[in-house]
Amino acid sequence: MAEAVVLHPSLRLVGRPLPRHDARDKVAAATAYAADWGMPGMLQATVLRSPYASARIVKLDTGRAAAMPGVAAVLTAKDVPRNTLATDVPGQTTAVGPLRATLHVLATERVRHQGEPVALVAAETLEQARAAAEAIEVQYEPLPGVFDPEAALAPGAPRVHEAGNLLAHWRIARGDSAAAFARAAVIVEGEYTTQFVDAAYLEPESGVAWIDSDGVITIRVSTQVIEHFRDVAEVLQIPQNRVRVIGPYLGGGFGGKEDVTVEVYLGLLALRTGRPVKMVWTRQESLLARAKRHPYRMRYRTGASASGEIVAEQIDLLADAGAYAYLSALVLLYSTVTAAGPYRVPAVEVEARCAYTNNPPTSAMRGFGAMQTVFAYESQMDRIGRALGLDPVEIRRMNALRRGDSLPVGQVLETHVAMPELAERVWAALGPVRPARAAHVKVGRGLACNLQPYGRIVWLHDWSSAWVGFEMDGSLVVRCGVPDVGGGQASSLCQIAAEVLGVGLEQVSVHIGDSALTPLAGTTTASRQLYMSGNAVLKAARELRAQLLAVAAPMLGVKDSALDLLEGAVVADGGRSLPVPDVLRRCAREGVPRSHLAVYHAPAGEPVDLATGSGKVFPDYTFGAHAAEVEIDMETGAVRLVKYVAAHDVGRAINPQSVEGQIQGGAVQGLGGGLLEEVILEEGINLTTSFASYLIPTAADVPDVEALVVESGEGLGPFNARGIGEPPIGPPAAAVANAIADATGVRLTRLPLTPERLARALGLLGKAG
Amino acid sequence: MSFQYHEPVSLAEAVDLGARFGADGRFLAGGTDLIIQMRRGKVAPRHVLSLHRVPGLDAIELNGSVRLGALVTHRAIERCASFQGRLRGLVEGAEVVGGHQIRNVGTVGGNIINASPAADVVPVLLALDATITCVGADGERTLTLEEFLLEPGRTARRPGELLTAVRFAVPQGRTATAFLKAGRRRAMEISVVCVAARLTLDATGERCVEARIALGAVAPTTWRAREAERLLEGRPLTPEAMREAGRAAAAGCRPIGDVRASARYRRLLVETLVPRALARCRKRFE
Repeated sequence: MAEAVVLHPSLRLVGRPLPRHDARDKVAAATAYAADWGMPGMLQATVLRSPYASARIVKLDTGRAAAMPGVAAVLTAKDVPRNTLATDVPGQTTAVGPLRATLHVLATERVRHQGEPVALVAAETLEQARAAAEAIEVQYEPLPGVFDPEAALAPGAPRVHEAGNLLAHWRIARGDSAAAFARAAVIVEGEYTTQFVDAAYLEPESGVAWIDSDGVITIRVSTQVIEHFRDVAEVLQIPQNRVRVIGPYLGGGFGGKEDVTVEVYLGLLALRTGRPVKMVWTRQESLLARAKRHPYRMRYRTGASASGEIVAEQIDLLADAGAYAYLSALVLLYSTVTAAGPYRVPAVEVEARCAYTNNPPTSAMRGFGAMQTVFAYESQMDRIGRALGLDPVEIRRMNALRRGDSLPVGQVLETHVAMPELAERVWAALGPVRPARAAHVKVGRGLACNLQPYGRIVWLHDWSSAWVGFEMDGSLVVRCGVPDVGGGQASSLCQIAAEVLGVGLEQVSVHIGDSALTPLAGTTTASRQLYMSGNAVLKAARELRAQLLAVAAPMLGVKDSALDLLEGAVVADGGRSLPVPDVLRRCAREGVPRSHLAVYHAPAGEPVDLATGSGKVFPDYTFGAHAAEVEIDMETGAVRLVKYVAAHDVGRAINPQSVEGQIQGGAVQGLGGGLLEEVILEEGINLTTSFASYLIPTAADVPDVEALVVESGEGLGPFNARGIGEPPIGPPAAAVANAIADATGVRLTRLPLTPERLARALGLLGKAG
Repeated sequence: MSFQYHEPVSLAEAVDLGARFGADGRFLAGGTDLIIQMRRGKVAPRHVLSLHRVPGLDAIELNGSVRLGALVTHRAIERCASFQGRLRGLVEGAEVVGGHQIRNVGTVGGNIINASPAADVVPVLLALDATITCVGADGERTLTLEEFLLEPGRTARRPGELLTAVRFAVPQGRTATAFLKAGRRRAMEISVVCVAARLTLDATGERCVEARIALGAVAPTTWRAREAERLLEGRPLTPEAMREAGRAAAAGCRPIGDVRASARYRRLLVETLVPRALARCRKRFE
């Protein structure tokens, strides 16, 4: 339900809600996902996982398993050439030191979380592989574990890793907060807690590996990062050019396929057996052991003047990093930088730590640490507004960042900041207040705004490359190593190339996600692909256009600046034109390339010392505002979502249909995390390993999400687009918590916002509850 | 997972196979519970006996009483026009089971045999004083549904015995039924608590002459709140009487706490949902 988009008069395709080329195939079940692949002589593989959260492996004997019928290989840590994976952000040139993410391919003498992979089996059939995995003899000696980051950092806590449990620590200190608090008319303190959340993609982790005829280990895998071919090479200790990763269309990633999943195991097994190998994790495996979203404990102290201006904020963040580092330190950095939200706060102190525990590992998930903080800062903002009698829009309007303001870390905002108009628009879009349906029902409304970086941290020197070329018949080919996770990544690139080169979308073929055959484009993470690869395609297409027009100009006897490319022809003023194939033939004769390979480098910068620094951390940010209307059953605490509106400034919507999809999907996923989803652990043991106990929203649980696509015309992406993959997941939990507070006067500070928690807060369960 | 699959084509053959394999065999109806249990290794039958080619098991018969064949699906109950009046509660129970796909294949017989304390249709059948019929090598026997359900996952079915039908009398006079479910989400959801109620008023519509209240997910089996029923019978159906019934049911039930909800919260739901289900019945008299 986007409003009408005002198109740039000269744009033909960009800005139009065109159907994506991949949509029909997906609906018709014609898309060959990673698990749909099969090869002659293919083995089936499975992983043996630890049942304990913390234990020593006393004995590991694979003899009996290896001798079982159909078994081709049984591998343990001793079979892995390099068992510890230190993953720099792929493709980056700067050593990131403390940000290095480590994990063990297979457990050695210790297991540190339930579900940690201990051994691999490949066999002729899946049943045989599973039977053999069962037959591996493992003797564990349970060890004391630690299951809470606070406890993990206490003196004498069991050490998850020898170097200690503190994994990362970031701080920001800006302004004199003590003096500012002393001047504050109102001070609000709150502690907020978020939970373990699963990515819960429809498509579980899966892939097939084989040694291709050229001897290259080829892995067709569901991944957001085809550049993990480097990690596979590292683990296998073979040259990087001997591994190729192919990334087909994904059934969702959400950050859960940013780290390696099955590809390393497939590489090991293919190398060992010399045969094609397939591995598909079950839903139970995926829920059990895959990296989750970090739970946070967030303490906020916010001071405001009598008129409502925020003057100071003290923030203390503690995240559960689980048993291995993965991307925890980076996630925490995102939280630190965004901790004060899209507001001007002159004095800010942020302390952020994350600690190892014997819980499942935590890592990237849509929002990447900039999401948990929204729940805290937007709850605080609401409480200050209430304390001062200011309505939700007004308190945000007074404090909203503007262009030229700087974030607590010192980064100056250089593009348009669509605050507070986003807040005003979503609030107005809720429409007139409806009366409650019954005596036991109360109605409430809540607002929440956020900022989310798009693009990688500037000192990681991000880049993407793309190749655009004409075939002799005038059809167009785009090659770009982008993995398409379902957000329309590939189809937006087609739209951009077709726009610049004057062909119809049906004239474009796009080849994506192949580390050997498509120019590398970096990861489909960090809301960066449209920004980065969109710019790379735009650059390649513009160069190619210039090459072509330079050849066409003398053919038409005009200057190339007087030419345009339209509908497969080079067109001059006055209506004279040449079919593109004619120009291409001339190019061939003159030795002018009919293609162009472009590399787009994001603006780079030096690392910022957060505590004292004042520099750029991220290229830019996307801003948003969401508003929710809820009905509360005052006798049971049940929450029903009635209306939901979400607005984001996307700079320019390349394909408004895809943008709406991202906003709606992100909002629904955020509502799931706000109201339903929780990985429940008891001493590190996962109690929610099926979709009957890990509850994600169904179509019946959410109202239509009204997406307001706002286009400021400012952003760093192609045609001034901003990233929109992650931003919409940030505000929902806070918007609903604020709506609950509006309806009931009761504030929930722990996610998810369950009926039982609300019932308890409403006093329905008695005092001791 | 390895088993032999059989497709008996008559009731006699099904009963015969059931008797032959005893505890090694399992009858397959909709499979929405059995297949999951087999996949998880919770049950490992050596013989799976599909009932889909046995004629007549999917029939709904109305003839003074209602006979639901064991293979009647939840969808068939939802769509049965005769259930829209006094049996509305049965439809309400059936239409919240799982999602569309599950209701299209899941059966009332399977729902009973699975013996989940959180089953949605079972409380309604209990409130209707339903009986069940089992056929085994020793012939046919009829039990009340209540005595059939023993504990989570266990019924009075003997090894090899086949549940063929559920029966209950068609409610007469000023009778209404209603069903309410509390869950964390609105579809594909195991009940946190569910409530079925049946009320019959006297000819003047003043007093309650018969009350049935059955609850799911608050005891080891679907549970009749008899104390609450007694509080209503012979009395006018006032809001206070209904609230009293809710309190009595909450006091009498024995819920557990688990990942879905605490025992305490389940009691709150019982106390709240029982009067609401009763009020829904009362509204249906109007």
